[in-house]
Amino acid sequence: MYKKKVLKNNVILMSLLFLTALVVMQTKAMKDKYIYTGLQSVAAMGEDVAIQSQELNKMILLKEKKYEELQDFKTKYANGNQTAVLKETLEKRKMQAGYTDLQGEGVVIKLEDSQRELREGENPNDLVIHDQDILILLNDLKVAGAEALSVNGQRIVGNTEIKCTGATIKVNGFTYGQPFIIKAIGNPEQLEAAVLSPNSYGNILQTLYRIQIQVEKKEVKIERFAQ
Amino acid sequence: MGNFDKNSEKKAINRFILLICSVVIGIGISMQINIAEKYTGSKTTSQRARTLQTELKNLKEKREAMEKEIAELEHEMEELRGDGNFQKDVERQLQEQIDKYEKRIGYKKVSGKGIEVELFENLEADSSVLVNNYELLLALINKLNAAGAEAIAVNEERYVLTTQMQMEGGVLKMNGNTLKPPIVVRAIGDADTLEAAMNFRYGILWEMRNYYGIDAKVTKRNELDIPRYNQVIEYHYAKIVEE
Repeated sequence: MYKKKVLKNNVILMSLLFLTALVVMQTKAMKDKYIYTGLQSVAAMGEDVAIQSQELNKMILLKEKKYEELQDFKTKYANGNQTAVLKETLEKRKMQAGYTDLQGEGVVIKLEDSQRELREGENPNDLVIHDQDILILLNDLKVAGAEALSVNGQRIVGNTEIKCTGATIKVNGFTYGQPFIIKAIGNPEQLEAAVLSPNSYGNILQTLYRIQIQVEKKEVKIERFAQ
Repeated sequence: MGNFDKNSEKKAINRFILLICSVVIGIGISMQINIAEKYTGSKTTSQRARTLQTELKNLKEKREAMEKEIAELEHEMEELRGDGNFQKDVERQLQEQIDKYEKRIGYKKVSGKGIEVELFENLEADSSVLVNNYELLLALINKLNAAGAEAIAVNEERYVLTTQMQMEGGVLKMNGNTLKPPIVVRAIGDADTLEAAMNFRYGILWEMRNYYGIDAKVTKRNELDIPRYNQVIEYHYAKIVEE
């Protein structure tokens, strides 16, 4: 009997303690200074701060460049050579818009449909190159720092579309058949790695679907966007 | 006598059990506190949240100020270019050409008729399907281009000729900036053609809905703003071919 009583007392005491603790926590939570925030939302906020500061740094960089550009313009302008300054700017903008022929170190990539036989459960579509494959390869090349790109001689610009039309593809409104040739200017090693390295999309195309990809590092010339 | 001994023995055992329990609970509590401290940098969660909040606010203010400064610099540049004694015919033509190319590159904010494609997915899931399959966005942009879009933006990022998408530490980056769901793609062009290209049977939106569970809503807009590309395009390997 005595033992049971002690146990009961203990339980009551413990629950009281627990309740008090809860009440204290709740009242604290009501104070403005102690708004309840989960660890997860704090982590998310930390992420946000990191992103924002990254973007701020980029903007600072842009501002500095703009400032330099303006100063440069001012000095040249003060020297009375306005037309030359404008011509120079125009050339630069044309280059950035893709309206000049460019040359430099880079890679030439040749893509050909798979020659292997269909396996059970496979669709013939799996073994041919699609517009989507080329889109992803182009994106991977840009990530690897490609400065200029062309597909079968058509310069890739912001408005370029790549359309699958059966066995051929249409780039900038022009139709091309196999093989598809992508040219890219940039660091040749990095560009090559972008399509051949073990984790790349190009590697999946090659190993899984036996799409043939050949990469040649050399000096390339990329023609302007002609529209 | 023997009975009493047994009783006290039991009591001792009970006490011992109680002691062990307390020790275990104590260790548990201190571990909890330690872990929480590690996560929050030895501050309470709410304190940490407050500092982060102020930091975020500061950063946003700084960003706005920076945006303003850039706009001012650009304005000054434009004023200089359009200066009165600068309006000779040749120069005006050159200026017009520069404007034309800047528009093509995406260096100018543009507005006009077009469509807005809102993409919805179950965001309660831990990771976004769309972010992990960003090639869907590339395909969607490609389709918009095929339908004659003149300017395209995903959220606040302009699509230009150097635009790239990539995953970096579980985050999707476009033009090097973070792209967070919900994702809205906007395009300027002939609204009817663009809408038709989007709603094409078995087209890209159908694919997203059926294979990836991403829902889309296409809305035609009379007035749509597309932000400018705010990075500098630079060349280190490519040179202009001299003719």
